[in-house]
Amino acid sequence: MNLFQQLQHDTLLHQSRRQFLSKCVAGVGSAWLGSMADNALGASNSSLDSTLAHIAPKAKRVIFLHMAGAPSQLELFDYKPELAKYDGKDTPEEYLAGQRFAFIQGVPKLLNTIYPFHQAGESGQWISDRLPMFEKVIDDVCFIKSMHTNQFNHAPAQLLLHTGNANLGNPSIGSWVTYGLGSLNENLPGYISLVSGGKTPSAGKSVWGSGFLPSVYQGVQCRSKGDPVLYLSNPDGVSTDMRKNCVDAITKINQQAHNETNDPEALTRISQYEMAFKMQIHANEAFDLKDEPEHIHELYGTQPGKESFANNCLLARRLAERGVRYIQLFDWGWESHGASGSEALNSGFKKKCETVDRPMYALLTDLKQRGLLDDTLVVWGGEFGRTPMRENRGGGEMKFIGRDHNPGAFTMWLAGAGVKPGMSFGETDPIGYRATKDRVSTQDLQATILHSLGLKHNKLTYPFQGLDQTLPGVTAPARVVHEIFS
Amino acid sequence: MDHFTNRSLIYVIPLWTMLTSMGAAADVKISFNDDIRPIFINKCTKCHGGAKADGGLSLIYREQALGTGESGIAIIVPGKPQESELYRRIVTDDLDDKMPLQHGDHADEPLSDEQCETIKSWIEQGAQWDDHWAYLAPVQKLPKKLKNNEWPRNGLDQWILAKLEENELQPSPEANHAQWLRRASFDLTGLPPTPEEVASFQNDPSEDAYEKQVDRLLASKHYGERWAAVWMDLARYADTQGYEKDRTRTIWPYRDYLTRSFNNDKPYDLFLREQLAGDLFEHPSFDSLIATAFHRNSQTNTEGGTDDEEYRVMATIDRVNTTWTAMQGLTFGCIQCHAHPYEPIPHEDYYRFSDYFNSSEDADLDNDYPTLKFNGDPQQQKEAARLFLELPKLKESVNKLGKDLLANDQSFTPIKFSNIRSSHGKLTQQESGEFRTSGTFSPGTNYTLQADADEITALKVTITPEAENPAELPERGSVLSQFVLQVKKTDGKLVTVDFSNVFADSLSGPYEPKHSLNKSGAGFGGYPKLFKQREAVFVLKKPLNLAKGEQISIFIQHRAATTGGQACTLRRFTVSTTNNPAWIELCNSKALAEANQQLNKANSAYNAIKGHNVPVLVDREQDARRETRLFIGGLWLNKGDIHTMGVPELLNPANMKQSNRLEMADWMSSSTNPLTARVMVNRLFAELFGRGIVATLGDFGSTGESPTNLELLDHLAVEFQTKQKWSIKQALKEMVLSATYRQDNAASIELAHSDPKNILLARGPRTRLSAEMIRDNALATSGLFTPQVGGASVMPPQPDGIWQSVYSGEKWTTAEGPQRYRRAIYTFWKRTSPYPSMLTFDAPSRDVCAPQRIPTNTPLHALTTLNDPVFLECSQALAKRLTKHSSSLSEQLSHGYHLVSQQAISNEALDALSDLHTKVLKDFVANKENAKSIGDSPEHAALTIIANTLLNLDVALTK
Repeated sequence: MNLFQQLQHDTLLHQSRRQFLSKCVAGVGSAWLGSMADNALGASNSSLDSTLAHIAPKAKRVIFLHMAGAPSQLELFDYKPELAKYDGKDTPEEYLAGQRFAFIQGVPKLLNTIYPFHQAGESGQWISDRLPMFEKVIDDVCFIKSMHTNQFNHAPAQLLLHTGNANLGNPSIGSWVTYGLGSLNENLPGYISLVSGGKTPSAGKSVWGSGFLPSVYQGVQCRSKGDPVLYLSNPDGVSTDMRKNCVDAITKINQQAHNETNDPEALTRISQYEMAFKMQIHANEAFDLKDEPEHIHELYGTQPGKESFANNCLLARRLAERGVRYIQLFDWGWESHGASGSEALNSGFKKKCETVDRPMYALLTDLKQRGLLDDTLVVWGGEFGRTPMRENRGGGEMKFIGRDHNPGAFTMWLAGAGVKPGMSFGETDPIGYRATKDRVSTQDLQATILHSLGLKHNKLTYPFQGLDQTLPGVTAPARVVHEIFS
Repeated sequence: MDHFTNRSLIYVIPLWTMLTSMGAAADVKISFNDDIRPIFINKCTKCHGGAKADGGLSLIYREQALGTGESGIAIIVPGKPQESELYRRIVTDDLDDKMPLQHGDHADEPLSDEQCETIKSWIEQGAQWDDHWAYLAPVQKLPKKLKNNEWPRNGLDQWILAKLEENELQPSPEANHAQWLRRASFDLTGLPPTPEEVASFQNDPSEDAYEKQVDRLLASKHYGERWAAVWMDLARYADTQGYEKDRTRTIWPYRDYLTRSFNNDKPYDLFLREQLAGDLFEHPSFDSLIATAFHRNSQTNTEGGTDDEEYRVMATIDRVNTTWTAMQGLTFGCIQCHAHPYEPIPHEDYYRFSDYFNSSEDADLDNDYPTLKFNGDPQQQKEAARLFLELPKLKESVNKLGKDLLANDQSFTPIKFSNIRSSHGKLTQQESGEFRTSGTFSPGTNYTLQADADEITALKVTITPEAENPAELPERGSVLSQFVLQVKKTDGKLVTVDFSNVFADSLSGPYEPKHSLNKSGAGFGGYPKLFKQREAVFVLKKPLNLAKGEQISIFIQHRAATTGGQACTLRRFTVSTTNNPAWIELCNSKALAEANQQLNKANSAYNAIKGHNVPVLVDREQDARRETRLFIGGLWLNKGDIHTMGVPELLNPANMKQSNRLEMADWMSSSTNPLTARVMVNRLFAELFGRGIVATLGDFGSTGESPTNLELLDHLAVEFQTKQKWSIKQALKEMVLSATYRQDNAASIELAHSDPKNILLARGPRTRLSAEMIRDNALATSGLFTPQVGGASVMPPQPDGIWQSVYSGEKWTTAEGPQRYRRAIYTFWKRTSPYPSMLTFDAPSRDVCAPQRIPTNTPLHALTTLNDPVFLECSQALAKRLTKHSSSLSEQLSHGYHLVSQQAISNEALDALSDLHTKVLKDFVANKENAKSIGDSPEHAALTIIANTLLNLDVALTK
């Protein structure tokens, strides 16, 4: 047996409980797992072996565009002509009784959408005038207008959307997906997160954390500025050749350690050093936007070397091409209370729309022209919606126009991977305050994303704290929104 | 309960048999715990368990399983499988009748023939029902007769060897001195041994040479740091508050308390008691107060617009779950929503237990109130502790005088106001005299109330919750920020009347009643929440008698608001007056003056102490305790019945007292608790041997891993409780001096394949260094290491742009000088953005209690130790150290290899490193610019690369 056969043998031996990985779409996930991770997992009665559900996957990968801070559905996609009638009027008591608001006081006034709406595309879907480029691909997306959550503060709502739980400590959806399916490319992490807007989302790195799953499944935050992956680059002065020589020497000596101890971890370490070396080349190459042609930069509006949503969208496409399983984008700055210019619907919000309009359009167009949209699920949205009431922080009229947090209704859109294009699913009440028809919870959305990847949300389990844990949580019933798939 | 009888029924089945087959022939005695319960849990309890008991049947509780369920048919009839409904339903061919269900959402594979046979035999044998092993007290058994009597050095070895002999395995030979010392040094102090320490041990022929080394390591000041790191995961220690803004929280004195406690070998029972209830000791010391910061490591959500009560409740839940996970190894969190699905612990027990933590003063406030002043000087600490404990008593002694009078004074009558004005919303007075409000209020809302009045000596303000149903409480805070009494003269002019004192029905929360006499955001009432009706009496300096045509004018100013700016106004209240002269007499009394004087003195003395404010646990006074209601379905806004303090009956066989938090801590740390000692010795064992005897360190319940060697676990637990008197150092000493631990960690190919995880320990442990050790090892090996113990957390270099927290101006300021090279436990821990290399090497984010790190082995590890500037800096220093050691390359390489592994370098390794050095040096000589980026000279640069390679070797990363 040569070294790598031996490694393979040992790895398999250690992963007897993880046989599903060899059966699944991409076996290379096991390489990233290393070896001993299941050492401490617990319950031998776990159902790990049965995690891989047997549904034909529609999506091979996911790109999730999260607008952190929660964009207003009433200024973008959820057209509510009725609201015009009530503009400036006191909110009726029926909408206020028993409600907890983040900032709204007493009896706020209703606020009509501040931007005009029109129908666009062949499908004739409603959209405001804020996203003129995106409008051109509106026939490719499916809106879910009846999203709702049970959290009305940013950090907990982001956690609920991505981890199935409003409290910290649970794995994010990308971790679940890579745990279930592995990566399609062993030279890149299977789960990558990209941040723009100058800040991480409110819930911090926990929204791409692995919670109680092994840390190998955590999202790797990559940057469009500096080292794309932390510590990816050799220190200045160390050439690729030199690094290769170092890794070779390490391999030789570690091989000896293995010969002496027969410790399978030593073998795993050898292969991880080799993989790290390959990753240095492949990841750097994957993140190098400079090799994109000019027309692509024009399409996205990208400027290599900068941190921007546009750059991240282009990176998302490049990573999708290279088999990264779950690509999570966060764009910070969508808060719209009206507390200041940057947080106002009539000011900061306008600018945010301008920065995402072209990249959103470009990403869908580009994926489509490369045939990638067929097996890539693109998801767009925030952590909750905004109130049809104008925010009255401090009990009076504020200088800027804004809306408070609204867990009752928000709009998300999905595209690609068998999602019906040009449709709208679900409805809100006449003022866009609460989802009424075909309501979709954050848990339902999670189940739907897993479904498109061929995973059953109640079968993708991990034993922790005495329970076979699932992404939507064992207490919340979750439903796959089959209606949006063709 | 006869523990011995139950215990003797546990069948000892060789490990491998257990793993391969659950089946059993009819003539073999079936064990409920080993054979039956796993089937129930796997196949039945999802529907017939604690969370759900379909058909009125739960297979968690013996009475129900031997009863009849809703159908009235006997479920299990001992001795008679054919009359037992359970057996009939698992073997029937009728698919509509079969269990587990064959249709619908809960459909599952039928039981195997073997499993059915096992259940049948078990019923035939009398359906003996045993408690889960972990709920019975540990019993030390007489050692077995062994074939090899030479090998065991202590009790631990006896039980290890018994298992080895059962599996026909031999122990491995002893490791060489250096291997053992490396392992013991890392395990006990988290640091590698120095070359001198290795040499001195190797040259010590005395019989107690090993013991001397262990004693030296246990006495090292670095021992406490190593074990504090373990406890910090359990305590979810972090230097920030968590959630969105995630601002700095000064709680490192608690981390230093941990280090100190381990270094002083504080008995584990006392260590637990202090952390759970140190504030309630008869004479709390500064240390026992700081210890309670254990439960102030829960998160505070300062995001604008959050409901403080929601996150106070979350913190309480977190405290319950952490206590149980860390100290009891049980998944108590399950019963927040329903009865435990697998353990006989009812839903109510969660709320009984949470009542221990539900009446602490902290309330998710941004400043982490309440806090204890921390000053490094021991004398000042003593003084701070004394005053901290005395102040509430002094405040109470002042307030009590008025409180007693208030309780007995029936003379107050509500004022009927003739003129009522509010700056916002609408304020109306009811017939009863009570005010109600409607509309929109801002935090700065004020009310002006005017009325005719007879003689007044005191005014009473009663703040009442709006909710009529107590289960809907608490509601948003209601704070009287400023209360002013004026006389409206006949010409309309207002003249202010002075108050001498304010008394309240109880003292609690961050505000004091007398704050309502000043212009500040504080005041009297309920903040951030109103839990019940509140009363305060404002006493006039002298009786007020209005002249004809004059009126009183009361001005009520609000300033308090929630984090979301929601006004905490008075929404339902009454103002009444009295002319009882007793109030003014009281305020002129000597008793009050003296009490006030003492209070003021103590206050100034406490304020004079300089230092940090460290959050600690403080209970609200008896009159201000919160009610604890069960959350229906675990939902905090859906409240059920009231429950009061208690521990699960299941785990309190000695029926110990449980009526307050201190008594709970006594129970937790008592030898009659079947879990406490086991959970801790198992943790120590896992840290040293790489795997717990119970592999799931945080789950000793029915769904956790079974102990691989229960006799060993119980031996260690009983020794810990009795002979070792809860001394962690003693427990560790037995482990590291054992023959088991002394074994060579090399495995034969056969052994590596037959026992890859080294469960049986037929060889010594070989495990990767922890995240902390990897940093500390690089610092120690390179000589950069700063040995300072304790102090504020530091910020070693990390890549730019890691900290981008929302709404937080805080910045990562890279430490310079010796502070740059502190041990890993001192690295500033930001919850939403932990230090990257720590996370990469499996440290948890410390959001919640983490009972166990899951070891991984990924390419990101390699990238970190190869390229992280921290490791480059260590490599540069190590290169200098090697140059200083010798000018000969081969000696430099040998020394370097020895420094990172404590072993002699092999010829092959020497060749590999020499070859690498030749290539690297050649490259740097040719590319001087490159060399400059790495070192002072091409030679130094080349040796730096070698040093970095050494730090990346498997032998350097493993112990």
